[in-house]
Amino acid sequence: MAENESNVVVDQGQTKLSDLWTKEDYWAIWLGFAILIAGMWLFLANPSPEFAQKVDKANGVMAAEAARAPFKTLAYYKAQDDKGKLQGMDTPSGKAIGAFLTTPGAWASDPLEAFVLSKEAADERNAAAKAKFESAKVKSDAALAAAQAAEAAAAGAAFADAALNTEAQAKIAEWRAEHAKMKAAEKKTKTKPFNIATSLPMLMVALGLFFAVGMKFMGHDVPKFLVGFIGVFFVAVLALMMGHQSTMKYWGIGAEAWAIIIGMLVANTVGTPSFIKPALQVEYYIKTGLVLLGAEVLFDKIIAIGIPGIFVAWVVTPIVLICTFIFGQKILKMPSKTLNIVISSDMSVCGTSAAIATAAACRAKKEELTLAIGLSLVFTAIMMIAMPAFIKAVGMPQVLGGAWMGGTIDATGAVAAAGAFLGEKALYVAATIKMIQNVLIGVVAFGVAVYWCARVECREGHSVGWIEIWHRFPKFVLGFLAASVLFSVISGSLGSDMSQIMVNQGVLKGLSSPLRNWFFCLAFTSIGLATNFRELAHYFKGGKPLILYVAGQSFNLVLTLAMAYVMFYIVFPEITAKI
Amino acid sequence: MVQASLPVRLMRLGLGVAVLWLAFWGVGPRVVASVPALAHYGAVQDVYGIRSGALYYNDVDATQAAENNSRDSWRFTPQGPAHGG
Repeated sequence: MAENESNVVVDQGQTKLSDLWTKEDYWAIWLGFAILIAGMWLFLANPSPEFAQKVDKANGVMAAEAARAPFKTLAYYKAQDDKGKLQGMDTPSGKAIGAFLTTPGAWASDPLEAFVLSKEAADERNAAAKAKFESAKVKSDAALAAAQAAEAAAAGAAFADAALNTEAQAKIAEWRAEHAKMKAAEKKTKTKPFNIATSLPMLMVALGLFFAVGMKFMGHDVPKFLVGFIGVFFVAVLALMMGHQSTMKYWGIGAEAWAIIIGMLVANTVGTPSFIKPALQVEYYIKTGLVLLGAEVLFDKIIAIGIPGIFVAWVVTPIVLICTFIFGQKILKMPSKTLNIVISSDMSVCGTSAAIATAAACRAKKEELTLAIGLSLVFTAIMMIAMPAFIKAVGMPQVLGGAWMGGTIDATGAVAAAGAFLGEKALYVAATIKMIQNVLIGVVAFGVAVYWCARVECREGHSVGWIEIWHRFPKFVLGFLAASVLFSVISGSLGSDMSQIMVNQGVLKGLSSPLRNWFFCLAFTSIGLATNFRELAHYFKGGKPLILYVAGQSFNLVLTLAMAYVMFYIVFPEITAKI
Repeated sequence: MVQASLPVRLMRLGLGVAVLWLAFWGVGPRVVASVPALAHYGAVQDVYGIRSGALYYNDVDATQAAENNSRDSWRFTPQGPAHGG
């Protein structure tokens, strides 16, 4: 990832006050926190009192329904859906920021539709989607009527007839499935015209200047950086466009992967133009994005699905991570420890995002990060199709299947998609387990950074003092952790409902996450544009990375399934019954 | 190392683009059409608004619904008249 001769950043054994404005680790913290503070001011400073009122109303309905019936009734689900619609970013300023940060949109055959959609084209899409929506609405209404009748029958028996209760639950589940299809079809009838051809150049200038501030203080040539940034931004936009192409959903290939693919294609054919090179600041973009990611590492998420979820996501994952790393060192004798830990964390925690955090924490080379992400993409594409198909074929319960996939499939989006393949219950369990596992990134990044400073980057047999560890410690990790702790405290103080609305659906999704995605895309574009195929092939020599991934993932699959079964069906069956 | 001439480099770029095009828009759709599980996989992503290439939980809208569902199941566990009524 680093751009010096050896491709590894090695801090000199001293810390100076001027590091605060001359080192990119600190600039990543300052820039990241500037965004987070702006987000807090925009989305947390003046919360709408309407949110609390609507949350109380929805919770009141759910509490009453929970006391009335032994299963989730129609009114219960409707109240839950109403609560889920509340978003802190749903304000005029939130919408304006969202529009400014918009990435190229979805398209099927005409790439221009990712940037511009005329009113006529939007109307045409809406008209074409109308018939499907009406058909879906008829089915949803019929399913609702059947569910209402079944629930009324169960209520008529004072919810004391088990058969009627089961029948009502089944009919309500059918309505939920049809309702989801109807809402998706309805969304397609509400396509609005857009044109991001004007906002993208403005965003390019804004992001270029944003990063240029740090570049100036770090002693780089700012005009050259800004000129190069135009090229990096252009390739990043292409990558985002490709990532949103409609068939990419089948392969799990997002913008970050396309950024590497397009970048490498350019670098290894026509060659990366020299004017772009001053803007290939991989670590600067990644570290700033990671500080923003820290705000999304919210520790109150880990109790979302109870103790079984913690065991599946927070006990199995570190065991698999450590065992895979040891296997790589002792058995496979991996030549590179950094490649070993990046693949191990990528495979055991949550794919690309974990790989980025770990690679930055242990200062892995950019080729190692690229290789780890490539392996993850290939196996995710296989597992996200094969696992739900296998689970369905053997008749595994949705909760167990969801937990298994949530704990093993690398990429977060692919986990949700694989869960949805089986049904809503599997989707919910899989997505929640993955979310809890996502939070582990903070602990892993910190642990790897400390371990690397204290053990790996020192001569064998020598111990390293705390001061030396501090000198070597990648300081951006402190910003990452500070953001995590700050937002975890804010989230915890707001309570789960208001935190969801104000933090997740406000500061994070309204400002921080879109920018984090842009920064990572710029970073991966830079990686692609600076990577040579031959160098990459060198790291794959002997196929050891592949063996490491397969061995680690096999262990992960067995251990996660065993833990999920024991926790959800033997130790805590009462929790499983509630899900 | 001697760099190849511009026409050769451009030809390599064209070849790379052609390979990608063939993989994703030639072979890919045929694979999707011949594997029903893949078609279903794409359809459910449309229904729940999921992008399988999404990076983190905040990039997946369904995660919010999943978390709400899980937390509400704890806070408002349906028990019925026998317990709560």
